[in-house]
Amino acid sequence: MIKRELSPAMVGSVALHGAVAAALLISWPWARDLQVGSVVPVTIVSNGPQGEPPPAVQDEIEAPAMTEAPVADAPAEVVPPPPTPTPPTPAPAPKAAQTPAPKTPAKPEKSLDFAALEKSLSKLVPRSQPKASSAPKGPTRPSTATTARETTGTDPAAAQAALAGLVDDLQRRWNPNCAVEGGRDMQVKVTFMLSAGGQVAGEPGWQILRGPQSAVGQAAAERAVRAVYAAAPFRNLPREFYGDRIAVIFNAREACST
Amino acid sequence: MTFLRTLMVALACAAGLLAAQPARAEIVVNVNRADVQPLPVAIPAFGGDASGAEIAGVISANLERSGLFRPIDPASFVERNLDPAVQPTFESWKQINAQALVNGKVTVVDGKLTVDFRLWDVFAGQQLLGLQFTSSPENWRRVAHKISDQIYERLTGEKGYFDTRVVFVAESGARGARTKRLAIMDQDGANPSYLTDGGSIVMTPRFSSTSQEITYMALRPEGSSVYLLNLETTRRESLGEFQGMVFAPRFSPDGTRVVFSVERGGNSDIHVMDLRSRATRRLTADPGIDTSGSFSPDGSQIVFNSDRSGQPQLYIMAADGSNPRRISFAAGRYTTPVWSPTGEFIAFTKEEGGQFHIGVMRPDGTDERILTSSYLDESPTWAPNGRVLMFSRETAGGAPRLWTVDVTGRILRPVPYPQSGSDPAWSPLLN
Repeated sequence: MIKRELSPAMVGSVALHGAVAAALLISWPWARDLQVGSVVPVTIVSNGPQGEPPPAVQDEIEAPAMTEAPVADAPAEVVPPPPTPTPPTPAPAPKAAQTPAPKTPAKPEKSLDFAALEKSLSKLVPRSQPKASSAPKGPTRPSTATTARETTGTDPAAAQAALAGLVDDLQRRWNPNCAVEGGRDMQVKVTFMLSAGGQVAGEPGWQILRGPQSAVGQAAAERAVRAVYAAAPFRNLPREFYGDRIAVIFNAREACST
Repeated sequence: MTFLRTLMVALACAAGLLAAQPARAEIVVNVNRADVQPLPVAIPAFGGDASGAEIAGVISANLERSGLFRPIDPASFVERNLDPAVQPTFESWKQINAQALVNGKVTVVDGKLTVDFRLWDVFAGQQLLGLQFTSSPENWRRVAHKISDQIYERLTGEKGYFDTRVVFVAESGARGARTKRLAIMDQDGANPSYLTDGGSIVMTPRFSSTSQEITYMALRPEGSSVYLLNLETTRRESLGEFQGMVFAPRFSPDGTRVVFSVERGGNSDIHVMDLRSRATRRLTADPGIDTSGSFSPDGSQIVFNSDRSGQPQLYIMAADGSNPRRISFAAGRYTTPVWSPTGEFIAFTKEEGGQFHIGVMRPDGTDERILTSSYLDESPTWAPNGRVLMFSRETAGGAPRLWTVDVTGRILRPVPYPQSGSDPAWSPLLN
């Protein structure tokens, strides 16, 4: 008979689990509903079917009758045909000096553990060719490989290439607003899940990691979410990725400086 | 005992749940490059009344001129005859890469114009805005400007500036003998009209914070005067008689004071008048030329230019004239400073290297940016959102024209006013 001794760590672990479970069963009298969005604004978007559009909000009756108020002795004149303008050559405006700050994510992020991935991957659907990160810009997106080659065994390099392709798809669809105040400093994290077909499943969430927590920040986050929707479906990822949570960090500081 | 049993069951359930759900990693990737371009937006002609096409056209032109949007050619639209009460077919708009879609409907019933519009996020498949405006039919352009402001704010996060007007000096005639009349127009150059008859040379018109009153300087052979002109009533009054030449007036943000310059014997100083009491106070007493006072948005400080250091540079003082300090130190001549409505920048005209430039700097003198350069760029004025400047540009031998530039200097556009104009002043957003 083997006698097992309870180590202090095990005792502590059991006690901690018990305490957590007990806490779950207790209804605290001062418990209150969490105010969602009180700190970090979150926009929920859906690609599912929608019902009837919400009715328009009746705005106040604006734009009262305007009078152009010409002075009595200055009647409005007939505007002659516009002369052909000869716009001067705009001089290139010097860009303000931008010193890219080092990336400081709000919280430590888990990088993809390729060793663990290697263990779990049994089949890979690699891209025929990994895309270069400096793909040409343009509204059209090159077709993604649909005739995937199935492989067996582990291939972290292929997984890495597939992720590079995902990043490439996103950066060709991401159109940040670098011209608004604070727009060049934005860092937005968008999280989403992928369905088996590579579509965005459910509702992506977003979080502003850096930049103004204002309407400008919200607009920037919505542009990042839009890039995710526009780049989907992500078909060339290893199938083990479907069902994982994908977090994309959009860095406007880098993107706007290129 | 019962509690202990419950606890054990709960622990078992929790363990079971944890075992049943395999741990999922969060895959984190960084996107550091982008396709930075004006946002493609589809703005089909609004349905209903015939003015719907014109309203959509004004909205489209406003957004395009901002430089932040690229209206898509309507010829490429797949879905037509949109009803704002019905959700559009987003796939049709994705095909042409429209990031946003604006549609609407116009009705005119019993002399009342009603414009119902929607703003859609095409790729997220959701409505971003839905508003209805009513007005009289002749005000359709203002309704279009208001819709433009709503769209601009929703898609950029910043306030719009389209429902505004510009007062300026309309110039006509040969160089050296130009007639200069005070004029006013919408920010897009529409609805221009003259406010004075050209009998005197007018300069430096400036809006009050109410948008209903302007102040300007008129130069006659017998001297100069500063006037207040109510745009609604057309009533005009002089600030009063001053010894010497009075010029460069500008309202305080609350509209209760006017700062201006008075020149006597080759020395000009800055004064301020309380419009209720008409009491005037001299704020500077330096032997140099002090002029072009402009209040900070909170009214506590005034930026001005002075040549007390040898050539025109920018200075800031408290609104009572105390604590003047220089903020510009670079080479060149700095004039016509204007504090932005948001307070974050001061715009100026700079003469250096045989050219004139429009630039901005922070109120502490840092972060100076030159936005434009030409033979003669001068007289900047801020849009109410503090992101766009209008100024006058003159080519060698040519007549001055009005232009706009954003604070990054990347978005430079001529104002679609077909005639010569200078010395613009942008109104606040209209009520």
